Amino acid sequence: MTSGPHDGDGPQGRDQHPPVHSDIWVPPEQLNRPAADRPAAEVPAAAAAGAGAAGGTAVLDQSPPAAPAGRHGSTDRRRSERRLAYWLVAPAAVVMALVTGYPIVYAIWLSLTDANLRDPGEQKFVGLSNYGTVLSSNYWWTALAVTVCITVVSVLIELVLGMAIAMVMHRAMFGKGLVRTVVLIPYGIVTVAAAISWKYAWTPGTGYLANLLPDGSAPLTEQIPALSIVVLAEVWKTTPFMALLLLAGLALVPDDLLKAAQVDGAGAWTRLFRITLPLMKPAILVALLFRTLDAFRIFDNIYVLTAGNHDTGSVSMLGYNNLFKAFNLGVGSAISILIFLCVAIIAGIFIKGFGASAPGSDDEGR
Amino acid sequence: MNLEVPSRRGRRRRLGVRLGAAALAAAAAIPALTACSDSYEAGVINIYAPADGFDFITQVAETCSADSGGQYRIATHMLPKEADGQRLQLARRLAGNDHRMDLMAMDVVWTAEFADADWLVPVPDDLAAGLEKTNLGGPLETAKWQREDDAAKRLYAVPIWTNTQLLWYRPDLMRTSLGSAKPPQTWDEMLSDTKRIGEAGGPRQILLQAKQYEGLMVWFNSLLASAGGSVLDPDDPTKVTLTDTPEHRAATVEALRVMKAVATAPGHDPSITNSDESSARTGMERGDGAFEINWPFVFAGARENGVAGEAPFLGDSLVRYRSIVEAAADNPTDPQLETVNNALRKRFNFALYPGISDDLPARSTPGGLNIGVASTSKQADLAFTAAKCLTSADAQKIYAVQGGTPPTIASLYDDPDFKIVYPMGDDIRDQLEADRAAPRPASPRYQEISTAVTAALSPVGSWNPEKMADELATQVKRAVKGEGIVP
Repeated sequence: MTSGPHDGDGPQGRDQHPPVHSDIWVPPEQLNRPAADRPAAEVPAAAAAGAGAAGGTAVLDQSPPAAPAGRHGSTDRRRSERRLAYWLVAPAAVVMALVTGYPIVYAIWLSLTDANLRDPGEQKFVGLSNYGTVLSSNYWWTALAVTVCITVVSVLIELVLGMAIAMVMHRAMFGKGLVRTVVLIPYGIVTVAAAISWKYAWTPGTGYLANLLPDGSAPLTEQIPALSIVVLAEVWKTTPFMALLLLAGLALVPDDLLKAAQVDGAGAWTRLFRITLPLMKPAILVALLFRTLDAFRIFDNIYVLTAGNHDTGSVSMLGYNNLFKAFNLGVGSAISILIFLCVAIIAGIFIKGFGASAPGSDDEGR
Repeated sequence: MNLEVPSRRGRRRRLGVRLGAAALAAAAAIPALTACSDSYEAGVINIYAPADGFDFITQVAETCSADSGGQYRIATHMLPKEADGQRLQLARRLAGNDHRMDLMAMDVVWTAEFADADWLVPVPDDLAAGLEKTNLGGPLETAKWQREDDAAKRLYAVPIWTNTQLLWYRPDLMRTSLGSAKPPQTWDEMLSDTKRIGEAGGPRQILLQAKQYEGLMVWFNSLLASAGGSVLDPDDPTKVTLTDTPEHRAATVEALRVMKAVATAPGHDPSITNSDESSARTGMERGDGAFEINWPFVFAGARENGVAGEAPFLGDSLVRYRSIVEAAADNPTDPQLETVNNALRKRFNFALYPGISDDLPARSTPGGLNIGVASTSKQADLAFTAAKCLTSADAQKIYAVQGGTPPTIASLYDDPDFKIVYPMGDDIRDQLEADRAAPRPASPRYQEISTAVTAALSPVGSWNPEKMADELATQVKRAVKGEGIVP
């Protein structure tokens, strides 16, 4: 909101092109109000510090419509505005429908056929039998159990660690920017590249971490140790993301409240559990929702670390193997749809059950 | 509010630039897109080959193009290192009807699948007749398949190179521990030899490939064939023959018994359930193993590391040959290498793949690549001409001598240059003859079969052979019918 950049081309631009042609829609009653325009645009740079804030409030003050005409005219305009809004979002909605809707519908259709990449064009409708095949297979239930375990364990660890890191970042006395950048580094590394490093680190003979273990142990060759390494790689990578989301939530907690509680004799833990966490609940739920959905679809870490051997495959791996190894588009699509349903259920539980709010929804933060 | 106006205008101007740029990019991309969607270039034969050995195929392709007198030019395109990735890329191009793919380098186990999917042009009779005369039976068998509309099995691809596993042992170790350097001929002999070597204080590991991947399928298939069994009926690939008759069942159980014995013998490789070609090679060179089952590439590897003094199991016995080996880096057929090879063989020697019993011949699984002509190609005849050149004796000699992949043409095994590079050449040829080679089951559903078998067998040795035989039969039956899901 500083006026610096506008001083140069602001008045000049306005002189050549009346604001009617602007990209943003300006309510008609405001078009003829030069008095409000000029002072704001012509504020000298020297007075920018105060005027910037003043300009900001001025803009805010103008935003509620002044409602000059009668009630009838207002609703008419509102209706036409609404129509305009629909026209404006229509292209985006159509593109969305094409880009996401079509594949989803097509996948549902494929999951009801016996389509195979080997014989394109020879698919026939088989009803729900692909779902029966998947749901009656031990491989699916093993993969689901593995996926749920990885999701629950990794998200819980991430929440605790992320909270701790967020607190540190929030209270950092100096170098806030540096701390936040450093913490974000794991999140910036490509997952596959990081997974390959983890793999070598835990392989006897090539890895520094495997050498810490007793001789002859190869953790990636057994189910539980291998899953622990997968969880470790996930936690290492995505804790920063969790921490950043929680940091935004921490900023919502008023300092005054904490200080008042401290004066009243509340200890650090009481303040955390009675004030900070309840106030942060919306942020925590959104962070958990995002991470749970992400973790449930885990693929790359497992693909690199164990390739799904020793019963460590996730449901995404199972879908990939059936689609791209067995070329079985029908069964593979059925698995994809089941994953989609699982993800929808998780999101539903978070939103309806815990009251997490979808970003952008009306009741955000409630 | 109007504060925003000028900057919005600026943004609009930038948006205009962006839109223009996008339109330009789209206009530029459209011809390129149409170019890659449909049209092909007459006279240009595109071959897709895996990363391993790609340089040698490219080298031969240049020679072939130059020698064709302008008839064709071969353009090479690299596929991923992993077989699954190669197969997926080829399948996507084939399913997408890519006319710009003419030749495909295919793993030996894909023939039936690709042929049944109508992705392959059968090899013309005259070319096939020539190949039958010159090629070894084992590799040739992997390129054959009988489609529903075929009267009999016929060639669907041209073998370009092959491979076979050998038994690797340590004569010096055997002589000190057992008093004789005679290599074992059966798995049971090998197990009792390891036991005695261990009792004399030597290493007891048998190093091979047993992690949950194709290498485990190769091991199982070799054992099963050596025991007289098979996964599928060779005459009816829809019939599972693991347990259908008492004899077949006995063979399957016997093969599984040997697997379990190797995986659970005292002093076995602790990471056997994660072992592959490279872990077997390094374990042997470290001195952890008494025996190793591996492809012939380990010989040159041991020689390289031996002269550098980096293979503990050879000590510094080869270090004095360092200059010879280094000088031969650009000339792999240098006759001086025979001295080094003979010195190496005193400590690291090869023998035929072990069998199950003395009565039955040992059989082993061939590997390698075949070249197929894609049914999407618009110039199949020319593609076969190019494939013939890429798989000729001259070409195969280059792959063998420089690339380290054994040839499929029998006569090359008598070539003096070949004999210098492959002291184990005679054993390789013997194992690749039709009666000794045991190709993996030919089936359009091979991928599902192999995935199901390796998943059931893994972790190797943790099961009861009798129960596992039934389990395998159930899993393979489902895979052959295309029922169920793959793990």
